[in-house]
Amino acid sequence: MHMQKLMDEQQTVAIAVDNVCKSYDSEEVLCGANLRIPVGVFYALMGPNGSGKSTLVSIIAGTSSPDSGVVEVFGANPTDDGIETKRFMGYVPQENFSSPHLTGRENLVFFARLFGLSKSEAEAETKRLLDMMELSDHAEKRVSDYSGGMRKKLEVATALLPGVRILVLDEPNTGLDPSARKDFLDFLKQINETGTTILLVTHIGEDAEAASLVGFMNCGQIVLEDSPGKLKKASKLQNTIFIDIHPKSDQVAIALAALDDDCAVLETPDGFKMLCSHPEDIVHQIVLALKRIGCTATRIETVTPSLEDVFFAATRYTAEDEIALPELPLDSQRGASI
Amino acid sequence: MNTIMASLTKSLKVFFRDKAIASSSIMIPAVFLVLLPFILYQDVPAEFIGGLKGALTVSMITLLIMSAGIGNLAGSIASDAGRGLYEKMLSMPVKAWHEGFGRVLSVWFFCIVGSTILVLLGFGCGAAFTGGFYEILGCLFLGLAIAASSTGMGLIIAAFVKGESAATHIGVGISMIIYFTSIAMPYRTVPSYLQVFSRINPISAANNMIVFLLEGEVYTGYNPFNLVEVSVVVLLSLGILVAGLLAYSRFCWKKR
Repeated sequence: MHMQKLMDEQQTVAIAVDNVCKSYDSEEVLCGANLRIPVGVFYALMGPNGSGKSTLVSIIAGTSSPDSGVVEVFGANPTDDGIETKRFMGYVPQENFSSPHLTGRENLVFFARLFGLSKSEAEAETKRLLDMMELSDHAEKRVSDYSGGMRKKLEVATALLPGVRILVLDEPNTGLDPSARKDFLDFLKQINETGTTILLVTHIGEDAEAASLVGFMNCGQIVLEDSPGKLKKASKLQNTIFIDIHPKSDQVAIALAALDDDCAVLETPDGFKMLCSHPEDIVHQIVLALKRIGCTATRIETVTPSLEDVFFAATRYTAEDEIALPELPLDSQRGASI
Repeated sequence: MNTIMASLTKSLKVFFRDKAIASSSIMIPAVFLVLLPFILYQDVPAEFIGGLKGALTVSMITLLIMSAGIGNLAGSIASDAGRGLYEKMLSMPVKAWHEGFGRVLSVWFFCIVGSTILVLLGFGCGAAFTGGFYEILGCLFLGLAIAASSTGMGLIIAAFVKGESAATHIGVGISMIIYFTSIAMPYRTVPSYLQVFSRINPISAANNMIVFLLEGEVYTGYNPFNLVEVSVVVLLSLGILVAGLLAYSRFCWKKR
């Protein structure tokens, strides 16, 4: 029975991290970290600098050893189970590791051959990856002439060799412009749709929105985990409606405050802002109320809380106040000290 | 085999494309080879000039091998480490010593090309060599010993020195010390402790053996071919290379 459960878990869980601790020079970076990533999931791991994200993924990728605890990737230990277990792991570290003296094609052939492919197999695989990454036109250019986005795409391609079932990316979007970042995230979604499990480390909330599951990491532990939508909803952070109006008057403030008892009205340099849970019901009423008193707003804009806001809210509770997290489903809370 | 070939091909391309490596390893010995006879051999009788230029060509090839093996190999490994290449390779199904041996072979191939250029240049400058097929075979074997010792030292430096610039400069510094203490100066003119050093140091000992084979004892100052010295060259060269590969696999591929 127990064996069956283990076998089932191996088929459904891509990455399992249990109670992992790691210290550098007596400074504890990870402390009882736990993580379960189901097969085929796009998982984003968010957290501030120094929270232990990169250390955790380097342990998962087998480039670092934990002091204690267990890490399994498809049931195998990436640190101890020899090099063959690394065939289904594609890891892209934070640094630009491709050689600037080689062309894009030569870099890919190098990594494909390191992976164990013969020369002809490596050439064929390189062609497929260059096409997939839309880098074929730049294949014979030296990497030193690549843009940051192109270089990162090339490095992601080195992690997509045949047999790879998990893609682990450590802050791949650092230094990319917004357009390149969006393209890159769309590309990751496409890869995920083919069944590849993705673990993306990021500190950018917008990037984490692309994932189906998001984990917040703070002080060496994963403190919260759920889908982006559920995390936002459970955080109970309010939406903000900005109303720019000239001239500002008490009459406008009173009219806005009368719209909904649950919304707070605050003054801003350009007008007012309202903090509401359900802004979609209020915006139309704001327009009507302003019309009734003969005012016209120059801007009415609803700003929803970002994952960063949710993260800050969550980590403020855990790090400073040491009280319970915002109300979230029990199964989405993690971390022994919470 | 795939890993060795991948590493060999990649490193060889980097060695030829990186202008700093190509110029410091090949250009400097080439310039010395052309200029030094004008400075050093002005008062030398004409019948010795060809032999001296031949000996100088051999010592410049040794300098090239040391520069590439000790300095540039260490610098290139440190550069890759700084870029996070080892972090990437640690996550892949790669055996460390296979990748390291590929790097060693790439330096050897680079040195073959560089040495060919220097030999041609030496001939162009009037270098004269004696010796037949067996002497040339012996020279190739001794050249391999110099390359093995140099790359072994380069790997040891890379294992313990972080930073491309530091690793390269330490390697170049060691090359210069070996060159000026036991190769550049005529054997008979150096102090006795340096004479001992030049006979037990596998690089200078192998260099002197090549000069002896191609030019004769008059250009080495002693006969280096005895059982002890040949054994020292073979065993130390092999030992340094193995120690280098072990240190490289242990420390450059160290998990954090």
